[in-house]
Amino acid sequence: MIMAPYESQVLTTPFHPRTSAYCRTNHWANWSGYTTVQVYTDVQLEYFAARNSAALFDLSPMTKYDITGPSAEAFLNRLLTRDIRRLGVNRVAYVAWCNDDGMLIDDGTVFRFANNRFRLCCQERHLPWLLDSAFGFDVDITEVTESIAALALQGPTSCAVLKSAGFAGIENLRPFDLAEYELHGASIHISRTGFTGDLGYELWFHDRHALDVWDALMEAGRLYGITPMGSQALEMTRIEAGFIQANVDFLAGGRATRPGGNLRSPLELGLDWLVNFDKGHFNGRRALLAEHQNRTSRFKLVGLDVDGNKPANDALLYDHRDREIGVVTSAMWSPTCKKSIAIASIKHHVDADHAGIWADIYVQRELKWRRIKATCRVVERPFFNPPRRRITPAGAH
Amino acid sequence: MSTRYNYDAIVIGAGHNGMVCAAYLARARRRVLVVDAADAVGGALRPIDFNGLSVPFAAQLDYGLDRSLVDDLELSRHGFSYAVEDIGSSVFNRDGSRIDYAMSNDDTRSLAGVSKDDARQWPEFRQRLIRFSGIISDIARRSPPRLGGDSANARTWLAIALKLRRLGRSEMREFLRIGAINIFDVLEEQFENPTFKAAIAAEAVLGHHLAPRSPNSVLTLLMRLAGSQGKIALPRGGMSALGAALQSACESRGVTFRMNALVRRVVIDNDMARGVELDDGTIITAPTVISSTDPRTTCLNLVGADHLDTGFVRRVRNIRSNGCTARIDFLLDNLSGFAAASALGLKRRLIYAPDMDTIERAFNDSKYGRISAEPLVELVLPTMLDASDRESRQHLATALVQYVPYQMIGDINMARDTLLENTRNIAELMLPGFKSHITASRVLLPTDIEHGLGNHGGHWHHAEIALDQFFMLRPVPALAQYQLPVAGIWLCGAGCHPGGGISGVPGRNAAVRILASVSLR
Repeated sequence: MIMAPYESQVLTTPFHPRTSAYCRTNHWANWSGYTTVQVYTDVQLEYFAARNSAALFDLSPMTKYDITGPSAEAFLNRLLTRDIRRLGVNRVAYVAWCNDDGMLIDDGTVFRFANNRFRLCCQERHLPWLLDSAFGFDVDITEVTESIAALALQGPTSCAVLKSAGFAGIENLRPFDLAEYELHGASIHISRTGFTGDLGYELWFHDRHALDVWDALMEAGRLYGITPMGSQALEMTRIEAGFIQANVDFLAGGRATRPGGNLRSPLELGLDWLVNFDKGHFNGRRALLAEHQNRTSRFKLVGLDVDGNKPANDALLYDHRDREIGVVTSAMWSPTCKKSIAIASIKHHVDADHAGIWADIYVQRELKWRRIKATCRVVERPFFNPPRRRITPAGAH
Repeated sequence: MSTRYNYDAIVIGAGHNGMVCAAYLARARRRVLVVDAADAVGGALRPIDFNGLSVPFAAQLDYGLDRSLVDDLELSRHGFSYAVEDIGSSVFNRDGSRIDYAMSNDDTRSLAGVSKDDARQWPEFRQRLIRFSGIISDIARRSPPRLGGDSANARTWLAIALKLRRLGRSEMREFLRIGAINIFDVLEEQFENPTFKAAIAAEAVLGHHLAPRSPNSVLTLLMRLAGSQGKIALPRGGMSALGAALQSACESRGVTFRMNALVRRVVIDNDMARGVELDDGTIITAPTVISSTDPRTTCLNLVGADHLDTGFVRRVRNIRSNGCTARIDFLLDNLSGFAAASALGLKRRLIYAPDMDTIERAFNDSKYGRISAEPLVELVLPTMLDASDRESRQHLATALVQYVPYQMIGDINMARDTLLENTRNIAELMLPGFKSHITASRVLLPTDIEHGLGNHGGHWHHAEIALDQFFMLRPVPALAQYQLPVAGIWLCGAGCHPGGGISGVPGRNAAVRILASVSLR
């Protein structure tokens, strides 16, 4: 059924009775067809909960596909740029996939529950592409976005919260590990993954258990400073973690309707490490191999330390001879790093260390606009990368 | 290198295009193997036994075998000649009246009997079509360019543009006007006799899943005329004789044939062709593998989706390749019973097409999964046309009948019977007494052609010829240069530019392209 935009009904997530009760600002936004909280009480409070205690985030609108069958592994290996054969059972991998031209369609995570059982989580909807990609493979693809509820519990005390909620042994989960638990009769998959670049977990379970799990975590986390977190605070942690976001830092392949090179290849987004040319054929391999061999990448992704304290959102970037060389795709004042940071796409040929990059920032105070030429230094991503993110067993901070 | 591989090139399919490609490669000193699942060469030309008579599996007549290829491969030295080089045609109305015509000459005596105006118009119209078909013929011989490619691409475009310009301003305008529209409108502008219009329309749609009112049905007519300027011919010894001559031409240049060998898959290693694997597990190695079967079967079955990109596979799966033409063979006892046999001209090509609306309605039936109640029929008697067969006491009549949907509603055997009965009645109308001479018959539906030749959909041209599947879009944009994305795998069949019929041009074009791209190892 084709529906006009004005006819469509934005849905609520399985946690809506709880999220709406906590949401004092009534600040909601449409995320993939679901109304989701932007800010519960105060974006700074929620951000600092993620960095200093534990933040609970409803990520149910993430698009989720269950991929099963004898050729599930072969299917994913052809779809994705990574060698999925090397992904163990009960492991999770960050992945990306491309169209025929080697341009990124989306990124996401793949969960391996069993030899022939996977789940792909991502930002955009991709069922037609997945079904077309399944031609010639013995594989079943089911969208489970609606039936699987998900919560992210992120922050230094997240492990302690889960332990106190009854998830025994959770501290032994390594980053990108996946384990199945039972809580009050509900089967819950917990992965040590997240979008904040910190110690954190994501919980996946059937939507009928949604409120029970939420209540159990909030109760268990009472003494650990657990705080529901909205999308705005998550976005801050995301940028500090140096992660890229579909339709922010790159245009998802399915969204491009105009010719003219608005898409990016994974090599142009700093995702070279996700591309395995030796694993056999995968979508876009020939185009990417040609790009790699002929050095025809047009862009590169860099992390920037921007002078001053004004976020460089959407700023155009110039070199010391005032030639335009790129654009900032994500930016913020980082409360933790105490500096203005940015993720930017710049022309591939630019020698980032010696170009004398500056950002053209426009700021407004009381309706008065000011232009700032802020010098930028290229720095490593992630901007924020605490050791606790990696240590196993995870600490009870 | 050559010691490492069994052959320089393996051609999958011993159809005429496969053999033409193999012969050109062998002429350039390549060691070539041709493999085919059948027990005899020829593909659609392959001789099969029909009640003791040898008949070609599917090919009816030579509508446009490329004559330069006959010279290049010295086919006459290999026993190839024509029994008839220019077969006249007659179109029949429902009352049994007929008009004689030929696309190859301006003889209007018969036409003048029904319409003086049409007879006056025909020569100029026909000559214009032949002139226009020269453009198509020129395009047909070229390997399609890529958009935004190198200077060779630019030269191709320039050559085509020049050829067009040389038509002169008004003729060029006319070419551009009618090139993509339907034959119905063009004939309505020119002629008044419904049956004569239907005859020309039939020439445009025969073998295509198109009706006179379908877009670009002028293009298919020009395609048909491009090969041999409208001449329709029959080789001495029948269509199968062309297959035998091609085999002989191949073998004289050292091509090896391996029959009864079904190719299971192309062996690919590190994104390069390494050879083929046969159904019995045998692996034959070669750095170049050329498939003369249809693009869909080649890409999806022989190569496999796992070696290709999703967008590419999506396009290949959407190639329109469903056939709509059936072939029916009739075995006839001695023809002395035909009272007016000589007067009726058993040496002609008989078309049943009362008017264009009848063809259109026949097409409508097939659109909805039914066989045509009143089909378009092309009937010939090869044993009468070919003097070398005069000794035979039995005679053969073969008919092309359309439209027969690839995906049919209802029982296929009932459809087969209905189709046979409908065709017998139409043959009887064209040749009174015909029915009583039939001693055996054979019906070949598109699904039977698919089964017998292995091409998906059983389409004559492996892929419908239409503007969206033509030239640099044939069969899909990324395949138009005969080359698959996997290195060393090529197409040379009718599914490639310029398309089907028994022309041999795709096979020749592919060989030229391969020789230019792959150096001798």
